[in-house]
Amino acid sequence: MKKRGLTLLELLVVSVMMVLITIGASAAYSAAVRYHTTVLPQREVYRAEQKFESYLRDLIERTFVDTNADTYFIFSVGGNGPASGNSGDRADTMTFTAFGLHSSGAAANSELDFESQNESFGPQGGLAELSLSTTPVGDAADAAGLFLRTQRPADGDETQGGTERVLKENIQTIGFEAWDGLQWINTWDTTAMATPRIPSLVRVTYTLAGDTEETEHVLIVRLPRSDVTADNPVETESGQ
Amino acid sequence: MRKRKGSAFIMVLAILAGLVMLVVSFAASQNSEIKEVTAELEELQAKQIAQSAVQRVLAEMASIDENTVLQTDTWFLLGEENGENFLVDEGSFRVQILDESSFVNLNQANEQQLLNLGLTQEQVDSLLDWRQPGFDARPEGAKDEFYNNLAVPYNAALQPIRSLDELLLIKGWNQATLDQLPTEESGTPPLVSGSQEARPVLSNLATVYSRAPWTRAGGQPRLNVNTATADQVSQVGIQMQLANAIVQRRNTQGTFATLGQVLAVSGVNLQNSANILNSLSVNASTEVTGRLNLNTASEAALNSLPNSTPDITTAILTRQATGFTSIGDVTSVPGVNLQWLQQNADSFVVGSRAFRVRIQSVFRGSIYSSEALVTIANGTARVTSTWESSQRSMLEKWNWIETTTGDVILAEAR
Repeated sequence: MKKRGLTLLELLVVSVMMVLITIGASAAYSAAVRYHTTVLPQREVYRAEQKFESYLRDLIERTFVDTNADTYFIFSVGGNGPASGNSGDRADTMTFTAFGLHSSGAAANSELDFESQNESFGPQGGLAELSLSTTPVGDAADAAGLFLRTQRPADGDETQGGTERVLKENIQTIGFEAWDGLQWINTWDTTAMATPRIPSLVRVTYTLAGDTEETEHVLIVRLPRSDVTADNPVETESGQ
Repeated sequence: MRKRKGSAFIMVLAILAGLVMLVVSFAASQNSEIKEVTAELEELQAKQIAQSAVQRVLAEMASIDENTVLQTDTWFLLGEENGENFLVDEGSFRVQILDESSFVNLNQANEQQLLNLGLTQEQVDSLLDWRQPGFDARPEGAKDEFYNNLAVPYNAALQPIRSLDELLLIKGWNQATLDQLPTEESGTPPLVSGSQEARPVLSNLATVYSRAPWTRAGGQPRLNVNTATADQVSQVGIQMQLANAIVQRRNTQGTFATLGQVLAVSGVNLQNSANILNSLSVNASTEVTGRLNLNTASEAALNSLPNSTPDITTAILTRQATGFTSIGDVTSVPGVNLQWLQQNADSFVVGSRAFRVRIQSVFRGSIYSSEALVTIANGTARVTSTWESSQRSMLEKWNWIETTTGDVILAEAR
């Protein structure tokens, strides 16, 4: 058998094919790497933001205020601690009572009796008292961000009670404004009103850690239980 | 030599196999990524379709007459009642509107009616203690003393219940009370004719949201029989002699607490009682809460009334097909007599201002179920609350049929 080497043509064809395959593969590889290092995390951030906003919207939409003393809708500045990260002329704490908030699914499926259920899962159902602020009511140790305080049932003490958790860690500042039918205002306190009324809209403005100074995220929530309209505005104390 | 040639072939095969595995795993990860994103988008679409269902419902409610809410109205016939499935693009939704006034209001029901619903004495006592003022508990009930000693303490409301889930705060109550039939049979009258397995669970039978207008036909205010003069009473169409008797009864025995007491005045008969029911009131309020709508009340709700009889329940249900345009119409229902009216007249209305909407929307593989509370204020219907359902498909819990009978195209698929 005569031993034969490769022809030049064969070598050329092979090297061209190799080059093409290498280019194709490396392009696909780098695209995949880029996707995983940049697009995926970005999408996660976007998703987290969407999830946060829709959750916040759901909470605020549940605002329920009637003439009883255990319901309220209150804006305040500085929470119950030192004033913090308040941007512009906005309230930085919002405390309100919410109707029909979801109960714990675990409690719903448990076979425990009433007393044990209370011990294991806490009180279920009823109006919930919620408070949103970057300033925690209790001792939050190292935790920072937007705190959500939940108390069930609402007990008429809007300053404390219940449990507190970080709703979103990377919130730097948050501000609340209310639409009184004519303009955006930064104060609201249904406990001081003869007939408690809630604003028709709530505007939430927040910034995230790492945002540039100009970046502000704005969320406007319509309160379905409000009877405030331009024809039927709320008389503000300032008389404007 | 031969051996070496063979090894080259095996090496090539091995490299090829490696490459194929790489490609396959890459494709698999891409595939799962695509599935994840698709599922997310489908769920989003299903939620959007639920929104269009809400709009469809609100469009229907815009034309509702809150003073007479009938089973022949278009809102009642929308969706489930006709087995309709609404097609929106590539998705679809099913919807049902229920009158809150067709359910028993747990804020108004008295002890006997609550027991008739199949609740235990403990649940009934605790509920009554919860919603009524005072600090002395009933034998099996509970006031602050009990609730303050729980692991996570709170106070009893001592006022009407404002949301259905507030029931979970009451001693002896839990989710099973609302979602399951009572296990042991109490000695109460049957709520439905036939098999008791078919009776509705409490969440499909009870409410705390029902409200209705309380006016005369045409929306004029009712005459407050506790402040009116005999002349005024006669002006709404009641004979002068009876008007005098009513005013005299008020002056001698104190104000009327219920219309049933007015019907007990001597001289009232089945014929003139209709006018009393349609025109008079015992206070100046233009709205009543917690009454049953004669037009939509279910068999179980009617049978739960303390003084109900199965015959009158059947007669009322039969009459619902044509409808009651005023409360006085009930006087012409076969079997109804003056005594029955005195006991039950204050339980009824013919209108409603609160509705329960159930929606199940589907987009490809995604199912989304939700409930909404629609209330009418100043003539405008609006959604005041929405709840995402705990399970994806609520067909069983809502007693919906498995498959619908007809499609209604709202938007063509692109």
